[in-house]
Amino acid sequence: MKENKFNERIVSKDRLIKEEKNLGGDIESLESDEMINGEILKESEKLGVNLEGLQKDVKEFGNEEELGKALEKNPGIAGRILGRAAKIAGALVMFNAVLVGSLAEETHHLNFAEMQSGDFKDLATTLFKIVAASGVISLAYEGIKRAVHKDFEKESDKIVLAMIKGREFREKKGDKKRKKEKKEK
Amino acid sequence: MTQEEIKIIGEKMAAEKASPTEKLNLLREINAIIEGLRDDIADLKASKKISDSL
Repeated sequence: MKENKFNERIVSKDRLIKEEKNLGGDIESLESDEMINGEILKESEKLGVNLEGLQKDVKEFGNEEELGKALEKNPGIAGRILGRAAKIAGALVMFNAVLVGSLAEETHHLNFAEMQSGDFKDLATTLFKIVAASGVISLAYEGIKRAVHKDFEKESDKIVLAMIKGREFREKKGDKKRKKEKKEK
Repeated sequence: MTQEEIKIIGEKMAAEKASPTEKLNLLREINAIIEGLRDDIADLKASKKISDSL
């Protein structure tokens, strides 16, 4: 009889440890998701500021003609801009806009090694289009931000539930310990 | 991140299948690109100023 009680206690203790570990894992993964969502919000806000800045920079430069001429005189910078514009076109796939589609086509069509005089003006046009698309990008990221906020609410609910579960679990565990100590006394 | 990797994550985001980490990585990448573009334009402006003053 004594042996049975001892075994029961061992099994229940193992289970307690297992449950506690599971709960710890759940909270840990929720906390890391929350951290990522926080970072997404920070980066989205930074993107908004960066896009506004880019818009201002390009507009300050004047028109496409001026920008095209400057690019032609600075092929090194033009090459860097083309590389970045092509990457942006890739990232813009998600926005499914006509403007973005034509932007992707333009950057694929421009091959830096074979760029002719008139192509620099095209690159300038592409840059102006990126700036024009920045409104679309901002809007799309506003959407992401809102989705993240919703996730936040859901996630925080989950964390609160997990914590309540954890507290109940620990209270039960404490009750058992207290009962056991009482018995022993 | 390569252009192809960016496109793949962009497509995943369009299909709402991107994980939070992928979203974060893409955002960081786009921010880095835009910051790079701003630096390029600043360099262009500086070079234009020099050539205008000559």
